[in-house]
Amino acid sequence: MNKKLWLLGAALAIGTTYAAVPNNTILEMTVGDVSTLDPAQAYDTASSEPIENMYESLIGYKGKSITEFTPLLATSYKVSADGKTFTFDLRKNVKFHSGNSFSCADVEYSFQRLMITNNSDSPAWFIDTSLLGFAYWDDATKKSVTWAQINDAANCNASGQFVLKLVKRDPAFISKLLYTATSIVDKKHAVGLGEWSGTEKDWRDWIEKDLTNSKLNEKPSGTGAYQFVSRTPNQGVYKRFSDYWGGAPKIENVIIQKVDELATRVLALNKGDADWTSVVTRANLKQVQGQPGVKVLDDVPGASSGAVFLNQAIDEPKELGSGKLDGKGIPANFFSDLNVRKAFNYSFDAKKFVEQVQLGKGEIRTMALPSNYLGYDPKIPVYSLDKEKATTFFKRAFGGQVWSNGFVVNLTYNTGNVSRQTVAEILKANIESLNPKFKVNVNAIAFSTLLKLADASKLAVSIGSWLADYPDTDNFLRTFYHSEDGAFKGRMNYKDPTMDTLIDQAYSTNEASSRATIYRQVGRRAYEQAPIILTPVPTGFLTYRDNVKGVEENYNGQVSGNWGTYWKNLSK
Amino acid sequence: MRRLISLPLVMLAVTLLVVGLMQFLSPQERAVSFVTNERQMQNLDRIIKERGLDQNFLVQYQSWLGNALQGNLGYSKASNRPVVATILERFPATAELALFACIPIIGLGIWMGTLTALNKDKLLDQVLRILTVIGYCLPTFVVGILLLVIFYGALSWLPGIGRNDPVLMITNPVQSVTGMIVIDAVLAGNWVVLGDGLRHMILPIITLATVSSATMIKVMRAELLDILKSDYVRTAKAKGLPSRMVNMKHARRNALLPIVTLASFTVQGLLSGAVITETIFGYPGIGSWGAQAAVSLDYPGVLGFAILIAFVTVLSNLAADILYGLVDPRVRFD
Amino acid sequence: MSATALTKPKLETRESWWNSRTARRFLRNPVSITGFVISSFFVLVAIFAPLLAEPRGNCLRDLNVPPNSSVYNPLGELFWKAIVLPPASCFSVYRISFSSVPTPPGVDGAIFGTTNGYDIFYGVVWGTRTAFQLAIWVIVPTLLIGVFVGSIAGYFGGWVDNLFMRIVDVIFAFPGLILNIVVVSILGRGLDKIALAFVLVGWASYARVIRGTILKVRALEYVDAARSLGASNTQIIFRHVLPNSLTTLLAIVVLDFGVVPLSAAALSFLGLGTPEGFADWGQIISYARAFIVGPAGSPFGYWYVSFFPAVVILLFGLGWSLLGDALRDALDPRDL
Repeated sequence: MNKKLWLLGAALAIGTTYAAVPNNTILEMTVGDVSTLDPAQAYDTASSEPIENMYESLIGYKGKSITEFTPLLATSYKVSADGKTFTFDLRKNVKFHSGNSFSCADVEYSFQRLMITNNSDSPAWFIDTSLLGFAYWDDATKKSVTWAQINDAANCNASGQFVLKLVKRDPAFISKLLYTATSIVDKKHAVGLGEWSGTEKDWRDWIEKDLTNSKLNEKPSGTGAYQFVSRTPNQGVYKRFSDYWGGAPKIENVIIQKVDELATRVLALNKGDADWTSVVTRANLKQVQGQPGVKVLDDVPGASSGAVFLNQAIDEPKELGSGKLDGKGIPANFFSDLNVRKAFNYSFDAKKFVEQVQLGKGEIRTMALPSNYLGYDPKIPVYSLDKEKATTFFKRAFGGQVWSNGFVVNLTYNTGNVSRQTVAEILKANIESLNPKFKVNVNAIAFSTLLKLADASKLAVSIGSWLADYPDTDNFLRTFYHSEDGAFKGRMNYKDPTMDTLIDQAYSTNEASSRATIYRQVGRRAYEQAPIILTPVPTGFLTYRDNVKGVEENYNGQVSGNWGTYWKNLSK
Repeated sequence: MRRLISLPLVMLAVTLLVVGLMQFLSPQERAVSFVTNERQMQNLDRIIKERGLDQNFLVQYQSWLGNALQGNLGYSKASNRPVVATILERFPATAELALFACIPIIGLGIWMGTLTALNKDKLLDQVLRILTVIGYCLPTFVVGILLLVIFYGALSWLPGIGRNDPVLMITNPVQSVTGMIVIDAVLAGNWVVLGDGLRHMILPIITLATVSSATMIKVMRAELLDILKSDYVRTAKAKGLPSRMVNMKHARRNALLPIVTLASFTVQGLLSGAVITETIFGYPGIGSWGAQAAVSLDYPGVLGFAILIAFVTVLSNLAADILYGLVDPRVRFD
Repeated sequence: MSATALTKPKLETRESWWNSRTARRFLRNPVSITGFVISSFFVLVAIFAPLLAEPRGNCLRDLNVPPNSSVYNPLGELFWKAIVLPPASCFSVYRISFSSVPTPPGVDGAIFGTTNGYDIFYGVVWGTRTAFQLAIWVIVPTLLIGVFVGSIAGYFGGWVDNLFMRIVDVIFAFPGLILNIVVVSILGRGLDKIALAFVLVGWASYARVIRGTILKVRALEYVDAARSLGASNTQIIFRHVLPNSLTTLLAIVVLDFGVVPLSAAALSFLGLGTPEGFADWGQIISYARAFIVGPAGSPFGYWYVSFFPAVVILLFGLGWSLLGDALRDALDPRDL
């Protein structure tokens, strides 16, 4: 008995000094779990971090810029005069982690596999849109699309160059190639594992195939600077690839540990047991900021765009109350009156929101577009809280009926989203303070329900945001304002032919400066027409240990979710 | 034996319960568990069609059951792994934690239960009872995070995250045989890893013991009091046996009977009830996965979890019966 | 003469209750008294919530409180309306600010501080009502179903018993918290759904306890005696078996009553509690989760965020638990 106790004590005592992470290792503590390591299926930030470091695309971001690109597996590319054919020269002497050599066949296989497997959870839809002309497979295309079509869209030519043929001009296409979905996978390795053969024989069997748990998810092999070691519950381990074409990186091991509890992660970062961790909200930043050894990289521009959507044709009687302007409800076309929309815009206190919710670190934007995107115009005016102007516009709305009779309107956000809840409550407080006959109800419903109702125009006012898959202005402005292709059209029922024409015009040219001019016009028109209320976007920040070097000088918000740069750029 | 026969029936009934409950969900709500990116929320209808979520639920259950009988329990979105792999990877971690946690829980239960019963209504009894209720009535996450802040954050006495030091697992890897770090380390004779694994369990175990030993103490106290009042103890005392010996030999042995039953409940409760403890300490166990699967309505995940727990429950009841027979000569097991 | 004859026995019964062994035993024990005091304190807080934490914002509007008036006048209609039938909006915690960082006690008139801008004091006080409401919604149906199933199974035995106990087995084979999570995530958030989830899980253990004690009681001589005297099944269940089994259950029920808010807090921890801002202890303590670690340089700088809700949850549980223990000890017929 005594001997056992002694052994137990000895075992407990060994290595009691719990040291910080060694200098050859980076340990990240994340919230999100990697959903898949197959690049053709991954569509979440937690998965894209390891994928970006194990795999490479043809091109990558140039330093901190999101509009300029640098060659990766392609050394250069040419675009044909009609903007429809892209020809890539490929890098020589590149090896995959498996030991196989990189060639054009791998590129061809990767793009074709992406196009074919495109299912509802896949990011491939925006590549298919450019190369095949449709976003998703349906019964008709499954029959009509031929192998020749797939093979022609992405093909190797006689001189070993890789050629992509678009169905029509797409100014955002190069930006699309920066998403992890277009990572080049190891064809020989994949076929050997039992993935698609890369031939006409079985391509139809792979249409809409769910690749989440594919063989490549289990055994990845790319050309990137890091290779896969193991994936156990809550933990992923990666090590450097000594044959990397760009030279072996400095950090030997990268460990990603999933820790759900914020308090636990905060303690680990403060003690140096984690090199990077997510603090999630700025409210908790104080718990790490100022701790010895912790570095905070602040003022990272936010990549999303948020808005309150005002529905101009509400298609749900329940949402309307009495359905009339009698003080007990609203008419279905309540927001079709520009005065109402402007009054609502003047009732939102963006400054207070930034100050209290975002603790002073939020960006009040002039357009529904991140400020580092092409065509962003900081000179466009913004709406800010002005109760006099709000009153004026409410008095003008519906010939004065709104002001004299009052209304009851519903504001809906998705349960659990505190930031959106606060947006709604600020609007409510200000609008109700203007006139005792104004009544605003704030409702919280499940996200899936909200989307279903909002997209079917069944909500009067809903709150939402948009995050781009690839950094192109069209991806934002079309989404918000286009009356036919906009993802938010059902929430707003905003129809403006001028707006549609402008957005389409900007997309029909590859000329950056003329696109920018048109986008500035779009922004100005959106201000005049006030179809939405723009909400301030939180400024991001990174929290990590100060002995990790290479973050600040390389930070690019579109790269590698956690560090904002590739692991190969890090050192200790 | 009858319990063993009922095992498949209970497992089947548990899956029916889950499937029945899931029918209250619209296909859209069920489709949400397949979404990894907010962008896909626009695609719910497509997801429903691809996965056949709008089919009649009997059809869905049939196809699940067919696969399950062949050993394929589907793919869990909550763990991003197939359900069977998830169970194999995570169950040993929780089992290890639960078994080790049982030592202080049952130990404290017997010791403090006896102490309070023998000192009934004295100051010691009152104080101990109030202390155990306080431990029981504090929210688990408050206890857990406070322990972390003090022993990991401020004092640096103990590690607080996961079940091992991930850096150590690279420099000093141990072959995984059983999936339980302690056993694997002993098998490999790797004392460094063993010590690391044990130290990682201390804070979660204290958390579990703080909130779980109260019931044990209470039952032990009540049972012991019951028996002390019973005729045969009085007889023994009347016969002139020393009271300490009576208390220990006769009374306590009989009070252990319900403790055996309760212990089996505790093990099975810990296996699934370690949800919050596992979340706080980043412990890669079965409980946090089950909770996550339930919250995200991960259909195969919840079903797989339910089957596993039903299995463990029935088996631990069986174990309790056998133990019961060992402690109490009157109960025969057949 | 006739008047005295009527009142006298009444007086006697009251006196005899106070002097009964049960009551004496109960009152003798300081722990029982503590439990009783704590529980009564919570009852009072729940009743007088509108006076302790004054209604503001929408609650005030929905009460139709005219300007320059208050709810403090016990003769006014408002006073009684606020106490007996407060509008639903009174259960939304008043949001003093929109600050995402907690503010310490004293700032902006929040005597317990704020969390997420919500007044912690308001949440704690009105949360007492929620706690009672939830506990009653959970305990009453659980008890009814449990007693019904348990007594039928225990009394009739045979295949009835077998059937019910297999159902109980299935519920037991499913860990309570997980089944609660499944039910609440399916039905949606809200107090009523949480209560329903608890009932669905909880009845099984009551049924088991009742069945067990009934099996014991049924074997006792006096039940046989009653049967031989020609009493029917229902009579035997209601007159003899149930009352004797219920004493055992009573202690458990009182104990469980106190733990309901604690269990609900576990659901709030997983994001499945009451809607945002609802005056509910679980909700408030789950806001504290991210703020148990203090800001740099002050490890417990946000103590008030977790301290106040934790203390009320703790005291509520403690009070009912001590009361339950005391009741069981007091009702035990064998004790001297």
